[in-house]
Amino acid sequence: MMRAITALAGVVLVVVPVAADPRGLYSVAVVGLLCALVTGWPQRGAAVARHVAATVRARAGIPARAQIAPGRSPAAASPDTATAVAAKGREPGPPGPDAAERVRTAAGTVVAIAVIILCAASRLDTAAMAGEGLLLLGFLLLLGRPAGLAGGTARAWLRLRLPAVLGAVAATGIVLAALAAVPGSSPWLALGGLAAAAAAYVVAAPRDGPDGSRRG
Amino acid sequence: MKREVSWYPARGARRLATIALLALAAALVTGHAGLLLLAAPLLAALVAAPHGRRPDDVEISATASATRCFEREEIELTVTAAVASQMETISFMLELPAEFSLVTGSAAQVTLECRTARASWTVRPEVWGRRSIGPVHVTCSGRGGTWSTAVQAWAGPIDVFPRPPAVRPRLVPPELLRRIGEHTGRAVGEGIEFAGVRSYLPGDRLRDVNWRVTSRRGQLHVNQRAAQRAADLVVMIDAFSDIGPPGETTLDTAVRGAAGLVAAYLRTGDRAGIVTLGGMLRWLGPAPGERQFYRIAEMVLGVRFHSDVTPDLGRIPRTALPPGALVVLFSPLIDQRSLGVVTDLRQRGFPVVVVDVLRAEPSGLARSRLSDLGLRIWRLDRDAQRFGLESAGIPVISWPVDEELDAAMATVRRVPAMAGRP
Repeated sequence: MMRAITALAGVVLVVVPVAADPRGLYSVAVVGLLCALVTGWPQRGAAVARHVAATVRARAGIPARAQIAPGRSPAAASPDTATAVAAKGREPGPPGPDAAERVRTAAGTVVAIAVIILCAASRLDTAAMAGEGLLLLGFLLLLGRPAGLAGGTARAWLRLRLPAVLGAVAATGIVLAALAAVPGSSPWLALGGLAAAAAAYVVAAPRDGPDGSRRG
Repeated sequence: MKREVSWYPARGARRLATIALLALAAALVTGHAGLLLLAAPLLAALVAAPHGRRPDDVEISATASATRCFEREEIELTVTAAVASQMETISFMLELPAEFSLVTGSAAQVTLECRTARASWTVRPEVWGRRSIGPVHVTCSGRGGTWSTAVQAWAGPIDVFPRPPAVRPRLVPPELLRRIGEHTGRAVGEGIEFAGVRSYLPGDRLRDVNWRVTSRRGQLHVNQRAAQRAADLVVMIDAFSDIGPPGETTLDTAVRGAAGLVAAYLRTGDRAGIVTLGGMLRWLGPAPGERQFYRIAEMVLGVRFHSDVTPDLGRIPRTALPPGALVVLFSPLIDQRSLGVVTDLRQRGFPVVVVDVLRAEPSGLARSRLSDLGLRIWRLDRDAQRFGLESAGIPVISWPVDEELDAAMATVRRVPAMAGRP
């Protein structure tokens, strides 16, 4: 379920700027869509990646690990015997859970980069851009969830993300207000304002001291 | 066991920061202020996430329910992690080696908002050997999920003994020991098998009288029984070659066959020993009893060891290769050194049987006339090898994939004695 929601979020992230005319960056959109689908089905994505890598190795003439015998070759020990026993070796099995996780997170990162490129090239208005920003945060938070979450554990984990989401909404509101207050201003000014807000928060936020006391 | 750990930004936090910085850079490069709306939520999420204390160490323990088992017996693996501070998540990811399969439990397990977490799995070893189970990757994430640390844990080592196939002690050496056993000897004694008829002598039991012969000849005659004698068995494992798919290599087949034969002979009160060729030359003299099986199984666990040295049988003491012991060699008949050992033993007068454990023919890189020709030459070479061994009085038993070892060994009942020897 979580994987499907992540994949759907990725697809929406890519489709929204494409719908607003990305000025010909359709190839980036296609890559983003494919990677969004891989985040939902990482096992198949890992299998496809291995198949592609094997094809490239075969075309380049690089021997695959599967053709190398796992044990010792007997030919060196018995040179006078015309023996050429080739072992089947270790057959590449299905990708393990760790490999699938790596593929999923790598694909998600590619989706995020594609979204940035598409948004930079598109003509989205500020409201749509704000929505894209919040959706991108949701997508990246879901991408970074620990493996093995299911059912009630997944809901509890999502509740733990609430402070981050609330902070993101607040920051989006601040930036929207800043852009609306000074239309057409330099992004340096908006960046400076954002950095100042963040610094103010970090200074004001309570922290635990090394001796367990609270400071702030 | 407590382990000191270092905390580093979590992968998710690093990803958020990287994407945010990319969006900021894009905003600066393109002059598109709206891109700040992509970066702002990500940075705010990082800043607004709650932070907690990060302890200096994590206590990890990994235990298995058994330290010794047979192939395909299930073992329960439990990993426990304990931290001094409240963690947002403690997650476990089990990475099994290829020789194990996961029976129950998800490979990835996670516990939320805890100081102590436990994960358990049921695994099954598919191949014999001495192995550790793992690694188990344990990741602890602090409050807010911005900082994390990871440690690895292993359980074991586990001694996985080869599962012996069902086989009966059919092979009998020409000379048996002067000990009571289950095999029919050539001498006359107190056995079960009929061995002949002779005239009655004072002291013979009435139950042994053969009334049919007595009535025909008019004189008392008694039945003679063959003595039941014990045998000495020494199995040899050719560890010079180890080819084939993982879990079904020639060495795996040889070890399982040897285990089956040893178990069968020990069950009937015979003595069994082992000699491993290849790597380090190791041996265990014949002895009776069930404990001997486990001693042999433990010795076999260390048989995978590459060496180019030709084994010197002269180093093996007489107690490990007693005269008259039946020697059964499990070998793929590829390495000349093992063939040399077999012919040397035969010349010394030992009854020897070879079990061919090579179950597959070489597969050529491409179907071509040359590869077909090479395969035919290879087959002829092996046939010549087998003919040479059988001419020297060494029976060679083939053990195909789809046949039980017991059925394969039924083709040879009695090992031929050396010419000129009784």
